[in-house]
Amino acid sequence: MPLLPRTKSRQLFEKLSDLEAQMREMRGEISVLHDRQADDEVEALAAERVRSGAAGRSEDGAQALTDLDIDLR
Amino acid sequence: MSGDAAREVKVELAEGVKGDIAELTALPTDADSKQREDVEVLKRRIAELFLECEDNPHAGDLMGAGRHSELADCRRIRFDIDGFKGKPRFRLIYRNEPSDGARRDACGLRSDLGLVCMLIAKLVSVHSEMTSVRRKAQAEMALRTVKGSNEC
Repeated sequence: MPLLPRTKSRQLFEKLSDLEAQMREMRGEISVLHDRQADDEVEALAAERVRSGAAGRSEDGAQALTDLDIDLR
Repeated sequence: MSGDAAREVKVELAEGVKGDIAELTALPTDADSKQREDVEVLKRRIAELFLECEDNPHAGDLMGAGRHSELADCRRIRFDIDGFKGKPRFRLIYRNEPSDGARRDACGLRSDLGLVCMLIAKLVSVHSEMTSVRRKAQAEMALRTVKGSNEC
């Protein structure tokens, strides 16, 4: 004998499917929010570097990467 | 685009960017082989980006008028290491000088760009798709368990 009547079991299964769909949608929204937050974070830092004049105090990129053991070949 | 003309563009790093890259590629003292491999791959990706910027300084997306007017003529590249599943976790923002190459030649290529100034290279907290995949697997397992107990 089943633990739940057939109708109840179907209802429960449908509810779970709905919940799963909602979760998927929420995950998508959260992912977009995180992405936007990440963009905001770097934009704020980059803007600060422009404002503070750090962008004007630049160094040779190739040399800096070599110093950091990054091979450009 | 490639060739000698492209190499006339010089890439510089704004104050702080070298530190960003050093931070990104730093290894913990107890790093395992996977971490070491990931850092090597990231280093190669950074080198590729650097050369891409030299070859095509307009490769990034123009940021335009946004929240920060200072960045209107800057460009952004979202990137990650090859094989990473999910949204790119790293950002590179740079500026072409002078003013993103205001004058262009007949081929549409920049003719007056002298410099690409990298403003930032950062790892940012982007939601990992891997977490979603794990959660989905857990949810499916829970669903199967419910189904299974219901069939008893």
